Parts: sequence; structure tokens; C-alpha cells
Amino acid sequence: MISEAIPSLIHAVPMAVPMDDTWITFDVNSLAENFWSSTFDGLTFGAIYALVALGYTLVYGVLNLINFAHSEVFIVGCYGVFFTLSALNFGPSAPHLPFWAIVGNLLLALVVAVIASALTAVIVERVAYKPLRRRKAPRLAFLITAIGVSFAIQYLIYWWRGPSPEAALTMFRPTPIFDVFGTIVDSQQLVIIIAAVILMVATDQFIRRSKTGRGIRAVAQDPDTATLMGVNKEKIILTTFAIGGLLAGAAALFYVMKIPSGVQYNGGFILGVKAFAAAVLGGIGNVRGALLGGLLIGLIGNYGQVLLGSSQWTDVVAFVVLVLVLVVRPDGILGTSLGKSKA
Amino acid sequence: MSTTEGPTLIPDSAAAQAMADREAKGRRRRGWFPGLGDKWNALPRHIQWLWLMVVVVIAYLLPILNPPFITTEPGNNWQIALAQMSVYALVAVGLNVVVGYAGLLDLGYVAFFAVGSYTAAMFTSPDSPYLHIPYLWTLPLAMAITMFFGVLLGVPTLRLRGDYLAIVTLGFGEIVRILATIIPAMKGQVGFQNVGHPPGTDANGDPIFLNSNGTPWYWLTLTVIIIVLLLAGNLERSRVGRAWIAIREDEDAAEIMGVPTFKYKVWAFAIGASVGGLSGALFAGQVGFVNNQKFDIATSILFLAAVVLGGTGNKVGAILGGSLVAYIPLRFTSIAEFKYLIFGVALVLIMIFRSAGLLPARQRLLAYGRLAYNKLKEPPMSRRVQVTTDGGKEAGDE
Amino acid sequence: MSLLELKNVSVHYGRIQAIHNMSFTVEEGEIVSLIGANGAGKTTTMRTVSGLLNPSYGSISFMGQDITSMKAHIRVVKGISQAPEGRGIFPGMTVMENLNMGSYGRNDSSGIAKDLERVFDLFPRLKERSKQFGGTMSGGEQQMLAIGRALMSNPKLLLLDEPSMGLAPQFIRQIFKIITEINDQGTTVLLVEQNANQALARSHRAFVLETGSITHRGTGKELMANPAIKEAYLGVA
Repeated sequence: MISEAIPSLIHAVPMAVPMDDTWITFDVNSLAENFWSSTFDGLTFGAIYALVALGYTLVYGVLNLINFAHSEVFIVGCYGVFFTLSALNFGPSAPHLPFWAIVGNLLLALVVAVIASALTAVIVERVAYKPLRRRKAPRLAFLITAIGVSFAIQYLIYWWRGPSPEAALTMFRPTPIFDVFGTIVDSQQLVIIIAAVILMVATDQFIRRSKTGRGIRAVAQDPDTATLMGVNKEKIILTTFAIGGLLAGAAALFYVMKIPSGVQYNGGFILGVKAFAAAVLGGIGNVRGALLGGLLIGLIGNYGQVLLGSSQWTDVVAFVVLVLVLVVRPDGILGTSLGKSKA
Repeated sequence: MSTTEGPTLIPDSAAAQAMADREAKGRRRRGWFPGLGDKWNALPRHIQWLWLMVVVVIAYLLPILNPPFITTEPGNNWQIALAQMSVYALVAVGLNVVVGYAGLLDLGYVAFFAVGSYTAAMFTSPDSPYLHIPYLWTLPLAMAITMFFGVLLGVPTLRLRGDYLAIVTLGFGEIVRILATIIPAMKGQVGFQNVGHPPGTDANGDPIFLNSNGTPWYWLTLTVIIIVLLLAGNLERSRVGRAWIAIREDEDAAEIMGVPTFKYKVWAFAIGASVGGLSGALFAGQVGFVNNQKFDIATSILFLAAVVLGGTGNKVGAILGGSLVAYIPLRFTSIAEFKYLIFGVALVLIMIFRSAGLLPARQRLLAYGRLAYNKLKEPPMSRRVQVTTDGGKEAGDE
Repeated sequence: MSLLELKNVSVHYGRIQAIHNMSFTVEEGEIVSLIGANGAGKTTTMRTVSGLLNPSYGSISFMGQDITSMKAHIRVVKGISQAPEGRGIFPGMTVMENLNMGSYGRNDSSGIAKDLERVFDLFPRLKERSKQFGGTMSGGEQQMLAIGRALMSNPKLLLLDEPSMGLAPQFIRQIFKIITEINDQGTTVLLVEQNANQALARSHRAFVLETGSITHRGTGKELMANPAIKEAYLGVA
């Protein structure tokens, strides 16, 4: 059953594993049957990854830092959605509300999530990273701080909400919209993909055209010279964190929409690793790369899951893809455009 | 900093005061016991050894002494607590090679610990259908297998920018846990019972190494730690150690100076991994049970906290940090459930306020050996210039 | 009142002192040069004036206002603009975007348009290449862009750090001609140079820096006539 296509990682399991065991199977038929449905689902997840990936990519662009706490910025947004919708009497089954009432409620949840996430991101930057910058701490110190913050927020939520996931929230019943190759695309998938793409195009244009966007690019390319041009570096950094948080908050709404019972203290962790993989795949620091990388990671993960038959494989597949991308093309598919290419 | 600016050794009178202030500030940050490190280094070699012997003897006597106030009882058995502390200390010593010496951030160290544990379990537990070998043989075997894993993960990723390594190892740690769950041969949550132990029986014919008796396990691990420390100490002062420190301080410069940085990074990674595997095997033997629940990322971060708390780059600090990270939740049981929160916050606070940890390392000079360190200490002005690596005071940050 | 005044300024990198107790002034309308060898502290002085470095001792004032602890990006708005050492072109931005960065701190669009015209008059080449990426231009063009960009903030004091570095001789003469032209238009210039010949010939006054201290000061002509300086910096025995 083991073919050449299996990544080396799996071979590396202690040698006592009998190779004829059925722990890994390739269900090609299942993939062929479900190809289009897993494609649409993969794109939906991919859109969510891409929104989170933008946060990683922007912060990496200006600070050259993997902001590990970004996954917690995202999960705080999820809690924002959860509490808002719970307060609005949403529950496990789809609500019986008129269309515009649902839209209004979801927009309210979006606003709360966006504020919660952006605020978290900004506080993390001010409390944790800024003191290190002022002391000119080495890179390792930033990374250790980032992981420490991520960990601290995770377990703060754990302490507050406990280990189990929150009650499921269904926002609306997905209705079929149209039919592609015999596969139904539903309203949920459509809402998520379209909204995410709109947000990403807006971000891209903001970075390219606005004055603040120019400031962000200048700080990413050469912070000292940017300062000499009259750019307030600290303000730009803070803005960048806020934009990343804002997008993570939006991603949180779509994530809870897609996975109603996904709100959990450590729910951001794996998603964060995948989103970061997406950012690297597209080219870290590159806004369009984040979109491309997100969609690809979503697709690859979903195909892998259908092919290998277990949802846990998505994470393994995404990780193997990350390592392969790093080895084969460390600058990603589109290259790093926002940041300087710094070794 | 601009390299075209020439440093100068002679301060003018106007700036002398500012400089003295900086010096004083820098000194205060050096350690809890200012001057103790210098005094220690000034002692003759044989006196140092004498003191070390005393410390080692006390360490061996700890399970019997069971000192009041310090003991974890009645909440937790003191001997077992010591055994766990020693395992954590060994983990921290191993991770310190990777993070402290070579400056590589490994966030998935628990994966190597897990591989070591599973090696010990799968080759000794009666639950395992495979080949069985005596427990003590699994220790070198675990080291070899984890070293192989270290190289396997290191070779593709260590050529990359340092910060990518952090996320790859983070992912790797999680993947090993997932694989332990989905691969049937690893037995998931059911796991392996009755992991083996070293041979030997007491006067009554009962085995000496029982899961319920921490003392022999503690002594075994302590002995292993001492051996590893001696080896690590030699490595630290060797060509390899100097290469690691060069890589940590400035990888590009090291490469230009002719240090094969990639090779030495793989070395650090592999050596660190093998110590992680060794500690995992010891852990599996002491606890006697291995399943997939013990090797989550949270544990990885605890390991990192141990190294950072003790003092990145200082092997004695690593032992202290590892012991403390295991000890605090066992001693203060009321805060045990918040340990992840506490150590997460501790990581941030240490980085911001005391980045050198509890026992700051004197790495740069120790790389040249003790004699050189003492020599350089004598003319104070020149030493200052030698050890200076801080950046310039830059504006722009509020 | 001098336009710029440094009083007893000392600067440290960590525990290493790079500038010792330095005092000098720049008067409105002048071209002032700092000359000296590598490592003399020229760039450190520039970075201290522009605010990238903070002095550990001493004070700096600009147009009578104490700016010692003022942030670099605010100094730009106040009228100090720097073309940094190594030019500092944003490689991923077009020439036009680079020039727009120069006027980042301004909001008067008519003034910006006027200054853009002035820059294009001084450097017609930049107009031709306005859509090209900064990173793809030659060294001389990048230097023009760096100076043009610094002018886009309409500075009262223009800091130029080694504008001739790495350029071909005909470019060097051209750059110095343009510097004089900028000065004639009313912008005060503080210049750091290793090319002492050109710098002294074009400067009203100059200072010689050695290991972080000023060792000689005078008008450009006086210093050119000084035998010690001739020998050390002008390449004449």
C-alpha cells in the first residue's frame, strides 16, 4: 500500500511499524468522486487561511517576525463571534429569522470580532514586542516572546473557558446556489469565498495605493530610510498589527460559520500553522501571495484528507507541503515583494 | 551599525559619567549575586572541583534528605518528583545545546522526547508485538533513532532563515503527536504499559527500579546528567562550541570566516535531539507507561521555558530551569493547573526584563577557556570593549 | 541664530564612543562639509543630526529650537532632510513612489507639485524613468533619486552623506554642480565627503573629523591651503 508518493516523514516512524498495516490508504476513487465538492470546500477553507495568512505576512514584512500570537489574535475573534451570537440567541440549529435580521446579526458579530482581534493584536505589539525593539533585542528574543505570548493567551482562555469546545453556533442553513459539474455550491461557501476575496483585494489596494500603505511598504523595505522620509515607524507598525488583527477577526466569523463547534482555547493553533504555511507558500511579505498560498493550502489539505481518508491528515499534509515549499522555493511562488529579501 | 565608524577606546571626560552609569547598569543586570561568578572563576581548579563534589554529593543525597519546606510532600511523592525534575533538567540541557549554544529555536523538541519514549516502550513493553531488548539498551538506541530524526528534519530546514525553523519544528512536534494517534502500531491513547526498567533486585528479590520508587531513577538520571554535562562542557569549549557561538552571534559573519555553518547547525540539532531522545527513554522507564497524550506542543513550550528561565546558553542554568519548571507545579499544587499560563507569561517577562535568565551565561569569553577569561578580565577597559556587542543607542523608538 | 547648532555632542554605540564632545554650527545659506577618513565619525554625526541616533551627551538645536530628543520623523517635518549613506532607495518602489515617499510628511499638494517640478528640473533623468523600479537603476541615477527625494520634503537643511560614493568621475562633478545649484536656490547643505577636493572647493566652511573629534575648521579655501590637510586628504604631498 505504500507508494513512492508518501513523504519521507512517514517512513521515519520507528521501524517496528509493519508496512502492510492499513493505517494509510490511498482512496483514489473517493477523490475522483468527491473532487469538485472537495475543491469548493478546499477553496472555502483556503479563503479563511488566506485572511489569517495576511496577518502573518504583513507583520513579517515590517518586522521580520513570525508573530506566533497571531493564531490567538484569530481565536479571540472567534470568541467575539461566539459571545455576540450567543447573546443574540443563536444556537446549534439554524435560527428562524428573516434574511436581513440574520445579515444584521452577522455584521454585528463581525464588528465585535474585528474589534476584539485588532485590539488583541495591538496590545500584544505594545506590551510584548515594542519593549524588545526599544532594547534592540536579538531576533531569538522576539521569537521566544512571540511563542510565549501565544501560549499565555491560549491558557488564559483555557483558564477562563475550560478545555472543551464552546457550544456549536449555526448562523444559517446553507442553501444550494448553483451546480458545477454535478456538485452543488452552497450559499455558505459562496459567502465566505466572495467576502474573503473582497477583503483581500481591498487590503491589496490599500497597501498599494494609500499613503499608509506606502508607509508600510517603506518600513518593510528599509525602516531607517523610511524614518528619514518622515514616516512614523512606530505608528506604521501598530497600524500593521491592527490591519492583521482586523482581517483575522473577519476570518474568525467565516471560520465559525464553517465550523460551528470550532471555538476552543487551542483552536487557533493548527490553523495558524497552516495560515503561516500559506503565507510562505505564496511568498511571505507578499499580499497577493497570501491569497494564492491560502487557496492552495486549503485545496491541498482537502484533497489529502479525501485521499487519505481522515481529517487528521489535513494537518500532516499541510505541514509536509510547508517543508517542501521551504526547501524547494523558500521565497514562495510569487516571491517576497513587500519585504526586502533579507537572508 | 555602520561598520565605517571607528570605535575608540578613550572616552572623553564629558561622556565618562554617562559611560560609568551604563557600566553600573550593565553590572546590575549580570546576576543575582554580583561578583560571585568572577570569584568562582578566580578560584584554583582543584578548589572548584572540591566544591563541585560537595554539590554533587548533596544532589545524590536529596531523595534521602527529603528537606523540609523544599519537599513536595504531602502533595507529591518527593522521590518521584526528583526523578521527574531530573528528566526535565536533562531535557533542558539537551535543548540548551540547540537554543542556547547554536541559537536555533526548536519549538518541537517534545517530538524528540516522544520518539525516545516510544523507542523505549516499543522495544520493552509486553504490549508491543515487536522485538524486545533489555531496557538499558534502549537508551543508546533511543539516542541513535532521535539523532536520525534530528538529521532528517534538520537537513532540509537548517539551510533556511532561522525563524522558519521555529515554525517547522512547531509543526513537526504536532505531526509526531498526530502520527502517534493515527498509526495503529503506536497504539494511540491505549499506549504501552509496563515499559522495561534496568535489571537488579534488592534483598527481598523485588526489582530495584520500580515505577513507584523514584530514588533509583533519580540516581540513574542524575548520573546521566553528569556524564552529559561533562561531554557538553567539552563540546562547548571545543572547535564545535566556538562554531556554534559564532553562528548564534552572527551567522553570516561566521560563514564568511569559513565556519561551515550548515554542518555545525545539523550537529547541534542532532546532538540536541539525541539528548531529548535519551531523556524520553528515561521518562518512559520511570513512568512505565507511554501513550499519545503526553507529548503535546504545550510540553515543548515548557521545555523552552526551562532553558530560557535558567539562562540561555548556560548548562548549569538549564539544569536549574528544567528542575524548576518540573518542581514548581509539584511543590505548589494549588497553582499546578495554571502552569502553562504561568510559564507562558514567564517567557515574555524574562525576554523583556531579564533576557539572560536566572543564571546568565558568560558564553563569549568562556568559549576561549577559563584562563583566557581571567586574563581578559584584568585590564578592565579593554575587556569592556572586547565583550561589547550591544547595538548603538538608536532613536525613533519611543 | 544659527540654523543648526551642535553643542558638546557625544555619541556611543553601546559602550563604544564614536563622537567626542563635538560642537559646530551651520549658518543659513551655507554649504558646510565634514571631511575625514573611514571611521572618523562622519556618518554618525549625520545620523545624530537627522535623529536616527541619540547623543548620549550634549544638545542639538535647529532654528533656535532644541531638537536633541526630537524623533527623526518629526525632524523631517521641521525641515531637516537626509539623503542617507548608501542612498537608501526603496528597491521595490518606482522612482515616482520613491519621490512620493520624500513628501510623506506633507499635506500641501500644490507645494508638493511645485517641488516635484523643481526635482525634475534638476534631474531630468528621473522624469524619464519615473515608472522604473528604484532597485533597477544605476548608482548615479540612484544618487540623483536620493537627493531628489530628500528635496521633496522642501527642507531648510539638506544632509548629504557621501553623495559621490561609488560614482564615476563625470558623475561626481555633475552631482557637486547640482549641490551648488540646490544651495543657490536657498537650501542650506551639510555635506559629508571623502572626496575632499570637490567638497572643499564647493563649501563655504568645512570641518575635518578624526576619530570622532573635529581637528581642523575653517573656510573651504583655508583648509585646502593647510599643508597637513593637503597631505592627509587631498592626495598632494
